[in-house]
Amino acid sequence: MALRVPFHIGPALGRLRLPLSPMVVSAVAHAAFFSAVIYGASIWSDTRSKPVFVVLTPSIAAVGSPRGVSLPPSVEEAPIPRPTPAELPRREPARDLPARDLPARELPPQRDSVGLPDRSLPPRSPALPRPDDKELPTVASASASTAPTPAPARREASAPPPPPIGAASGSASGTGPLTLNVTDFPYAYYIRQISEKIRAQWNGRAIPGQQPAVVFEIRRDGKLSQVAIDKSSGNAYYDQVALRVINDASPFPPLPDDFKKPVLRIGLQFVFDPTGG
Amino acid sequence: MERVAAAAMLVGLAIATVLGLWAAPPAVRAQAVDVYINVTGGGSKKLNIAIPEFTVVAGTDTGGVAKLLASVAGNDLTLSGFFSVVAGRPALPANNPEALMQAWTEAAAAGAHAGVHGLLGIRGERLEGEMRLYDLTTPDQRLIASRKFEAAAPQPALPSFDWRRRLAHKIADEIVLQFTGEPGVADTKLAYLLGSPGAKEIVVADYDGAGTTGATRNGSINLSPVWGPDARSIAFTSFMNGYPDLFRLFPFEPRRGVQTLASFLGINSSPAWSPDGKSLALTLSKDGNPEIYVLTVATGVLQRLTRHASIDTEPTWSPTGEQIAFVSDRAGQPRIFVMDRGGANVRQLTSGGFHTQPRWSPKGDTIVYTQRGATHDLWAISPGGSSPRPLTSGPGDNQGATWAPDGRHIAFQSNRTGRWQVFFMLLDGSATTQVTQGTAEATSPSWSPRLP
Repeated sequence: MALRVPFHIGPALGRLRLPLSPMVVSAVAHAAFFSAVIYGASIWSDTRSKPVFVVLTPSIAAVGSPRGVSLPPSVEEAPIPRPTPAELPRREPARDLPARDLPARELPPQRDSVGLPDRSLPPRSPALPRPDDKELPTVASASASTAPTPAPARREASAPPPPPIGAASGSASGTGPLTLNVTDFPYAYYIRQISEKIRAQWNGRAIPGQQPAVVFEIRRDGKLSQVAIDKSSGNAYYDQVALRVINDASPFPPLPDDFKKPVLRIGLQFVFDPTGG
Repeated sequence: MERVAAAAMLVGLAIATVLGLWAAPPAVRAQAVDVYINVTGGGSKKLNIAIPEFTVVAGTDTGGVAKLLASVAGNDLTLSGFFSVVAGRPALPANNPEALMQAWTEAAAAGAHAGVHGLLGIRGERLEGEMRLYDLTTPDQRLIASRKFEAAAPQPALPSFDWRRRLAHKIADEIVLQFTGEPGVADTKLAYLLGSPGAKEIVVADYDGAGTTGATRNGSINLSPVWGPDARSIAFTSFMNGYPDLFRLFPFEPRRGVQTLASFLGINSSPAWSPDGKSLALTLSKDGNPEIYVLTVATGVLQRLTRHASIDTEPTWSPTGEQIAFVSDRAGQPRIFVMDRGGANVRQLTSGGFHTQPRWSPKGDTIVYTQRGATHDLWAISPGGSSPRPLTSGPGDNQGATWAPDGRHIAFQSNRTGRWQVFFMLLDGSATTQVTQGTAEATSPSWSPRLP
């Protein structure tokens, strides 16, 4: 009995004998559970994250759209305070982009019949800025009719206050409604070019309501090295269309000389925009 | 003791958990997103590019080469259909980053998305060109790529072969590659027929019409020139010996004579090289009426593909070499048909019209042909037979298409100006350019592959 005295730490435990073997079982189970959670989380984030994220919306998607949702004419007219690059959220928050939410959900009911997953996020238009996301106002969102004149394309250079994206981040390129924000891949021209190539292949293959996300890799010489469905649309046909669009759009431009990685990994979300075109 | 062990176990588990949680995020961060893009609607826009006069870094430029290179390459970029060239600028100083940055800032303010800094070294009959491509849409004007090229006067001299212009073409093609992933077609040639109906000679020119050179001088009628896949030889039909026989000439080898490919009884016409360059599909009438044969050039072995009482002619190969499209009037009027390269599985591709001159795209996804209506116009159809669509609709006749190696441009002959001239355009009908300007009639163009 004297041996047990130091273990009497309180009245509540009193003479209670510690159940050793259940504790061991419990500890092992806990360890296994948390290991599984941690391991699973790292696997999940590895496969889900990617260096570049692209959302395309086809102009042709307006075909068959009953009535477009009225969008604000331009993001430029609704400027929002932009975070500096240092304050930008990491990739993680971007995963649940509201842009993946369907603008189509605002349409009459027949468009909802495609069996989309019910999202709790509020419906929004893909062109709207999201203050909580690292999206910048459209830099060169001049309407298509003004595009031929070169001046608007370089708006960010001539605007009195230079955008706070800074030297490390680059800026949006060129013409057309295009928004981008860059941290580690500051080659605006490159994103613009691949977007153009993919969009050229996508036109005519509008996929209202079916929005797969794909992940693909571009090698240094511009050739496609991998393409896979990241998030299924729920319809095998549209998933195949998305893969084929990427394949048909390749080869892409060679990676910039100063970008040293062997491949560029890109995530791309196809978005049906009922106001497109 | 049990409690000591249990406590230690719990502490260890806690440490492991903390370590695990701390270790997992770096993997996430390493793969974090770098770019988020949202692209909506809008058609394809051209890229504005500034290409100032080249900077001479070695030798003296007595011939205005620096200016020539900038203007030729700039024109190539315009003709590619991908670029708008921002007005010409004076040469940039060498080794002066501040001046370069200043020049690019001005170009960007004028609307340029990209800038080409050309450096030129002149060493006698040799040019060393360097192309540095900058992205002007980023504030720090990042270098996209830098490539060096050399050009030397050919030996023996080819008076027609403007090797200085060729350096500019190569630079332009590289710029197109950097922005699109596929090289441009500026470093190519067009062969076509020049002359009156009584005497047509084959001439070769740069794809933009510069540097026209005679390739035949036989005073006879020469027909249907077709470049070989190696861009070194041209097959053609000629009456130079009195009969329509098939020959081959080598435009860049002035000492090499004309080679006879086929001189069977009757007509030997409409040659079409197989993609591997080893065989030639052609039309022969030696067995009565025109039929399509394949001639293996190295051995002279002849294989007959069509057996039909009607006329079968004008073969064109698919880029895989597995199929051949051709013209046949077995359905009443001339229509386009497709068969396997052995002659099996003949199927009718077009219907309801008068269709000739099929040409299979080097990309394989389109066949262009000529449809006769009120005028002759170019049409396109998929090899599966779906979605025939007009590429031209007047003015005048537009016919005899030939594909550029990029599968985006086609050259053709048109009499829209009152006289047959060679034009080219993008497949969507935009960027139509008149290649030939002379008083002689220019017909039957053939676009070369990219030069070796």
